Amino acid sequence: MDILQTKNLTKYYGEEPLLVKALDGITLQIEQGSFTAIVGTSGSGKSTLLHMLGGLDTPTGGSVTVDGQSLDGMSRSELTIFRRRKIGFIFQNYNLMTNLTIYDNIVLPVELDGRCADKQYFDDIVTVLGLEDKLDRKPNKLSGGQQQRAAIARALITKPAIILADEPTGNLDSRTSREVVGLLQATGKKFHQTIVMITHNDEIAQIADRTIRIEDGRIAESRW
Amino acid sequence: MRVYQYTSMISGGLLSAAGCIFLWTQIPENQGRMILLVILFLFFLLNIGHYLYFRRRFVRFSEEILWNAGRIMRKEKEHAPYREHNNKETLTSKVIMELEKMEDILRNRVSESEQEKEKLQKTISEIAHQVKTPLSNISMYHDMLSDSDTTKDEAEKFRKIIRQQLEKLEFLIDSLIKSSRLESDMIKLNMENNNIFHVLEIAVNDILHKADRKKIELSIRCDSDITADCDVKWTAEAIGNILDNAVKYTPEKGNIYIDVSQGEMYTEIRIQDTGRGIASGHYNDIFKRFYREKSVSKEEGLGLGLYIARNIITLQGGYIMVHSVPGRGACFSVYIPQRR
Repeated sequence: MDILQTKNLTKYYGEEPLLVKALDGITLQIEQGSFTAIVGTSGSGKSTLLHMLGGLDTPTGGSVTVDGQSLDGMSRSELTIFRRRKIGFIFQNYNLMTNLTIYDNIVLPVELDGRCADKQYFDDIVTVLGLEDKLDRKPNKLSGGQQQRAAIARALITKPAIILADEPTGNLDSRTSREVVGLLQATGKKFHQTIVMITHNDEIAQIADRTIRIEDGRIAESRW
Repeated sequence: MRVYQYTSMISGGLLSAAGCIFLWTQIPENQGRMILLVILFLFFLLNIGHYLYFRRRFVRFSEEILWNAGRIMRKEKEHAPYREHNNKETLTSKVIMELEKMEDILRNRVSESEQEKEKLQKTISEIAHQVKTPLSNISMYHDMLSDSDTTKDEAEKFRKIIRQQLEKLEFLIDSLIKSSRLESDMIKLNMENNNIFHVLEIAVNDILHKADRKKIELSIRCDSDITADCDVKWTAEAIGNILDNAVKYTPEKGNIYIDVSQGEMYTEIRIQDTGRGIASGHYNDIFKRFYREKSVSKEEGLGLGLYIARNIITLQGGYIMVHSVPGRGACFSVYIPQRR
């Protein structure tokens, strides 16, 4: 089953004759439970695409449908709630709250929604990601790899329809990078999460079930 | 929220009742007491109104939940009133979201078991295909042997071919049994904190002879205290399969380096050879069952070794990554979790 679909997605900046086509007609389907890597050089439009998929930016044309809901008709507040409940984000620079402990950072998306985190599920995630003994620490006391693991836990806790990872290993050395993507893949499979990861690194991308190559705002190649 | 409403209602009621009793004792005239009674009655009505209002809201909330649960179960999510509840801060919206997620999980389970069936079908047809070739060879050469025109030399040659094909079949069946045991979770992995050097010893022992024959130099760099959470026998099998491949595709007088290091969560066993390498587009293909690169079809093999290796490592919570420069060698990194 497809959890995410885009139809003829376009994003243009500026006007003719200086029109920049960041995305030029992207149509793709992401299957539930799969791990997809979107690869491309910088400036190929892969980050723009991820922003559109996550409702962080509005497209010029075309549509994005996540879990049966189309993103175009949503108001700002609806989109905010939608992102909070249906999408997990993992960023290059971790984006953890520096004044909160790791525990508070992980449960933040659930508490923002006025709910309580499922204790059993929380324990499962934290154990798999090896964060049990780091929960009361502040992010700046942890290594980059540990911070990104906390960010993965934060993305998993809401059981989102899809997890979007934007260059999750961009700030990590190559050894830690390979550990973090390996862990991302393993947790994705364990908790049946759909993951879309953006990377410019082919070596990192091999861990994915499917690779989509973006060039000049278009899909150049898609292979399983 | 609702609990808060009720407690405020009850405590408000108790407080005002206490106030009223106090006033009753303080007011001596009947008229004043009458006014107090009227106020009390109005207050009572207000409370009843309050109660009925929240009761109604609660009933409506339950009705909404039930109605929407029905929609979710009957997969009628596109129905307009249902969609109105999406992405709101209301309690209904939150409960519906949780119900949706539960339904997703259940549907996933169903589709998973369907996929399992499809996988089994595919496996059977692949095995049938693999068994067919040696079987038809054997039957053909057997017929030729039975032919009275066959000379003695020819007969010897045919027997040799039949022997080879039988060996191939035997090897195929052995590998298939191994991989099917892995897939059907029939084996019990004996997960313990094991010394990796010990695992490497077992794995290297199996290929030492082959490597010697090709004069391949084998070097291992592994601290004696490095451990990982794994099953010794099966991990050695996985590493052995990767090493076997390395020996197979490395030319004579080549090198194989094994390097073990510990990271934050995984122990990495890196196996690097100076063989033919793998084109970057095929990194994932080489782990598929019965996959053989076209250019290596001359080499013996079934395309099961790496497939089994990946299964073993994945079952133990690890993974394998490949890096290669074609023509200059391949590097397999096996990651095994350090603890659970």
